Amino acid sequence: MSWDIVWAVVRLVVAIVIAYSVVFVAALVNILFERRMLGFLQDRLGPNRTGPQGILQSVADSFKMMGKEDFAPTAADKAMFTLAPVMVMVGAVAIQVVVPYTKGWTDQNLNVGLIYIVAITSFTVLAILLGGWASHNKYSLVGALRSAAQMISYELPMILALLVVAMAAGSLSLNAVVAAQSRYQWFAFTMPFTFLLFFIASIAELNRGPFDLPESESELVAGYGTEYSGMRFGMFFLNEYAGMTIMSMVTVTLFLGGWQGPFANALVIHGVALVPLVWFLAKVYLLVFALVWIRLSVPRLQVDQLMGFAWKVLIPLGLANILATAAVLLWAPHWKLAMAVYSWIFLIAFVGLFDAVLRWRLNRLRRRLVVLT
Amino acid sequence: MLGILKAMRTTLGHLPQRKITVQYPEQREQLPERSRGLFRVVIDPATDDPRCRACTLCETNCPVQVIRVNYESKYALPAVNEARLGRERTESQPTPDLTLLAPVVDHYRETGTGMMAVLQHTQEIYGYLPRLALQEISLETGVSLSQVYGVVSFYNQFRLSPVGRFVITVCHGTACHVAGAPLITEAFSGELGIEVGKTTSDRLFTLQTVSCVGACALAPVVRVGDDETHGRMTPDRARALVNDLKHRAEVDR
Amino acid sequence: MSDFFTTAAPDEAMALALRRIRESEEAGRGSEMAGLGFNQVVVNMGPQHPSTHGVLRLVVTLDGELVKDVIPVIGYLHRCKEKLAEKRTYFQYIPIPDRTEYVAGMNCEWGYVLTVEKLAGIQPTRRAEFIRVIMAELNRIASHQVGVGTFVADLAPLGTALVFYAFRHREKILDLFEAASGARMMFNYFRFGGVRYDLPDGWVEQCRELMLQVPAWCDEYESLVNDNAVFLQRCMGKGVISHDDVGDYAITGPNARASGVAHDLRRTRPYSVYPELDFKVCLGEHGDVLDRYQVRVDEMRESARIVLQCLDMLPGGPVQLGTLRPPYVITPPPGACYTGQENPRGEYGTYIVSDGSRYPYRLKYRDPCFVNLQLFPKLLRGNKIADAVAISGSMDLVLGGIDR
Repeated sequence: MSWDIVWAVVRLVVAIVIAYSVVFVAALVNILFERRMLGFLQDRLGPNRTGPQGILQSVADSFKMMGKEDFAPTAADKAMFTLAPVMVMVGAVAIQVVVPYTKGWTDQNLNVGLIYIVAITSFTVLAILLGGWASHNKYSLVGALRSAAQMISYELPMILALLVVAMAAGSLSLNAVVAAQSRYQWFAFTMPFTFLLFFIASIAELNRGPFDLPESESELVAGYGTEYSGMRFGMFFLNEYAGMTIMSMVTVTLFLGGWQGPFANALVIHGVALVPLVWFLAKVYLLVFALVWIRLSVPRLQVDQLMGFAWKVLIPLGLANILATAAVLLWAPHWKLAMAVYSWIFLIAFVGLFDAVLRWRLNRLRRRLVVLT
Repeated sequence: MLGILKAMRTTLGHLPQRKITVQYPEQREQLPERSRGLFRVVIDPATDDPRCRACTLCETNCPVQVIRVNYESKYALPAVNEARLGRERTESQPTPDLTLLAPVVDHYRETGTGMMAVLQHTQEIYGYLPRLALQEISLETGVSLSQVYGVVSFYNQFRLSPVGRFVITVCHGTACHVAGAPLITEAFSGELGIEVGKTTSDRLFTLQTVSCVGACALAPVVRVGDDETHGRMTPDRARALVNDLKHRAEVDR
Repeated sequence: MSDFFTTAAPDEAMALALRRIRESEEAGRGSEMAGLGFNQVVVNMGPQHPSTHGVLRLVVTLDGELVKDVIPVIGYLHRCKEKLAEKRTYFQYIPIPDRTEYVAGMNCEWGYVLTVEKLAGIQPTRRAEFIRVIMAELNRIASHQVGVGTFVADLAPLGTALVFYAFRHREKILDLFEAASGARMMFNYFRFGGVRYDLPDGWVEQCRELMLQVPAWCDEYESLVNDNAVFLQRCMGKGVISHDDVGDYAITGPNARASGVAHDLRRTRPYSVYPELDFKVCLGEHGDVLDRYQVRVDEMRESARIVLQCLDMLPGGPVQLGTLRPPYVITPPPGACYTGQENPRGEYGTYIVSDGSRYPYRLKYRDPCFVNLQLFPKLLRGNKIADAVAISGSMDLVLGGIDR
C-alpha cells in the first residue's frame, strides 16, 4: 500500500468535506444575512432573538425543517423524488473545484475552467426538472418547466459574457483570468457592460430577485417545490441560498479580480495565502448584499417579460458585445484602453436608453387603447 | 435601468436610518392617555368613586391571564355598592376570626385537595362562608375571588349567610308531603315568625326544607342540626319542639 | 350584469363555471395548450389567498394562461350589519359602520352620522365639522397607503420595500388617531351633532408636522414605482376601464377618476365644509392600472393640503351639541334619507328609513367596493392570470365593505 494513494484519498475526502461545508455554511449564513439585511433596508431589525444578534436563526430553521414529517405523494416516483433534492446541490459544490479562493489555493488549475463552469450550472436545471416531474403534479411540472426554461434562456447571455472574459484574459483557466486582472485592472472596470450582462444573467440563473417566478406564492401555478416538505424542501431552499454565494464567487473571480487586493503575500501557510482570502470573501459578500438589495427594489417579472428580456434584449446585446470586443482586440492599437472606452460607452447607452425606449413602446400601447367612447 | 437604479437608491437610503423596532417587552411604547387599550379603573364622574367593585370576574375571564386585582387592604371589604346591597345584608356578617383558617389553607397547600375541600372545612369552622373568609382564601390560594364564588354558588351545600344555632330542616319528600309536611312547615313558620330559608333575628333558628331525608317510615320527618331526627311530627309537636329548643338555648347560656 | 355567488351556495359557482366550459367546447372553441392536456381549467383562487384582499373567492376559468371567465363568490365576511341596525337605537349603532370598510373607518362613520343628522335635522357644531373633515382626510391618506402598499405587494411580494415604508408612515397617522379618539382602527368617534372628544393638547402641531412630510412620502413611493421598468411593463396599458364602463357599472372613486371621469362627491355634491376648502380633483388619463395607482398617490397629496387648510381654519367652540343626554335615544321623524360620502374607494352611501321609533326601520349601504367588484369579469377576461392579480390589486377592494 503506497502512502501516496492513502494521502491522495485523504486529500480527496478533505476536499469533498470542505466543498460541502462551504456550501452549507454559506447557505446558512446567507439565510440570516438576507433576513437581517432585508430588515435593515425596511427600517426594522431582522431576527435578533435567537442567539446574540440572531446568529442561531438559521440553525433553528434547519432544526425545524428536519423535524417535519417526511412524506411523498403516493403517485410520485419514489426514487426520483428522493434523488432530486440530493442532486440539486451538486452544481454548487462542483463549481468549487475551479474557483480560486486565494493565492495558491487550486493546484488543479483546470485549463478549461470556464467551460467547466458553464457545464456545471446546468446541473441545477436537471435537478429542478427531475423534482417537478417526480411530483406527479400537473402544476408542479409546469412550474418546473418554466423554471428550466428561464434558467437555460439566461445561460446564453452568461456564456456570451464568459466568452468576452476569455477573450480578454486570453485563456479559459480561472487562475489565468485572475492573473489577468492584476494591478487593479479588474474586468468590472475595463469591461463594465459585460459585467452588467453577466450579473443580470447570474441573478436569473439563481432564480433570485426579480426573476423568482418559479417560487412565487401569489401567482397561481405552484412551483416545482410544492410537493416537497421538510428536509427535501430544505435542500432546494439551501441550494438557492448557497447558490447566491457560489455564483457571486464566480462573478468575483471573473470580474472583480478574485483574491487580488493589497498585502497579497502577507500570511502564507503551506503555500496558501490567508489575506487574499479575506479580500475574496469581502467582495463575495458585497455582491451578495447587492443581490439582496436588488431583490428588495425590483418587482417580479412575469414569465413572458422574463423570456422576452433574455431573448430579445440580453442575447442580441451579448452577441453585439462579442463582435465589438473581437473587433477591438483585432484592430485597435491599445486594445485594453479601447475595450474599456467602448464598454463604458455601451453601458451608458444601454442604461440611459433602456427606460426611454420602454416607456415609448408602452405609451404607444396605451394610446391604442381608447378610453373615451 | 435608470428607474431601477433610482429605486435601489431609495431603498439603500433607508439603511443608515434609525430602526423602528420596539424590543418588546424590554422596551414599551407610551400609549396616549385616551387609548382604549390601557387597563385602568374608570372613575364615575357623578360620584367620583371608582366603578370597579373588585369582583375579579375580569381576572377569571381574561384569556391571557394578565389581570391581577389587588384590593387596597387585605382585611377590608371591597367598596360596597350601596345601591345594590342593602345595609342589612352588608352589616349582617360578624367579623370572623381568620386565624382559624390557617390550618385549612396549610392543608390545601400540602395536599392540594382543591377548592371544594377548603370550602367545606371553612363552613365547618364558621357554620357558613363569611365574605371575609372567602376573600382570605382567595388571597392565600391565588384563585380569583369570582372563581371561588363560582364554586360556592353552584352547590346548595354552601351557605353564604350565617345560620342560626338550630337549623330546622323539614323533609318534603313524597312520603312526608303526603303525610302533611306543608302543614308542619307552616307551623314552624308561624311559631318562629320567619319565612322558609331565613334565620330569626336572634340568630337562634333557621328554617329550611329539603327534598328527602330518607326516613320515609317516620314520615313526616324534621331534623334539627345534623344530629337530631324527629319522626311522626304534627303541627302541635312542631310548636312544642320550638319551645323545647328555646328552653335548651336559655339553659345553655 | 355579472354573476355573484354568496357563500350560501358556493359550489354553484364551480358548477356554473364547468357548465360554461362544456357549452363553449361544444360550440367548437378549442384551446391553445391542448398538447399538455390543458383545456379550459376551472381554478379556485380561494378565500385564503395572498393576493385577493381579504376573503374573496374567485372561480377563474383559465385557458392555459389566459383568463376566460371570473365568478366572484362573496359572503365569507358577512356580519349582518344591515340587520343589526334594526335592533339597535341610532346611537348604539354608531360603532358598527366603522367595521364595514375597516380601512377607512372614519369615512364610513361619517356617512352614517351624516344621514341620521339629515333625517333628524341635527346641525353639528362648526368646530366639529372641521375636525370631521380632518379625520376623514387623514383616513383617506392612511387608506390609500394600504391600497397602494398592498397593490405593490401583489406585484412583488417582498420584492419592493414600498409596502413597508407605506405602512410605517401609516403608523404615524394611526398614532394621531389613537391620541384623538382612543383607538387605531375602530374609532367610535363621531356623534350626532359633533364628535366624541375634542383634540388633545399638541395634536394640532403634531398633525401639521406630519402633513408637511406627506409630499416627501409620496415622492418616495413614486421613486420606487414610477420609473421602475418592471412596474411600468406590468402596469401600463392593463386593465383599462373606459368611460362607458364607468357609466354602466357605476364605478366611483379613484377607479373612475383614473379614467378621466371627474366625479368627486366632494365637488359634485358637497357636504360639510368642503365648499370652503381649496383642493383639486385628481384625474388620470388612460384608466389603466398605473393611472389608478397614480391617482391614489396624488390624492394623498391633496388630502394633506386639505388637512393643513383645516388646521389653519379650525375655529374654537364646543365639539358636541350637548343636547343629547343618557340614554342617548333620538327618534327621527318618519321618512327616508340617503347621503353619499366620498370614501377613499368611491361613493359610500347610507340609506336609512325611519318610522319614527327609536330603532331604524331599514338601513342600507351602498358600498363602493361591492359595486366595483361587478366589473371584475369584464375587466379580467382576456388577460393573463398574472395581470389579473395586478388588476384586482389596483381596484383596491376591502371585503368588509363588500360583505358587510
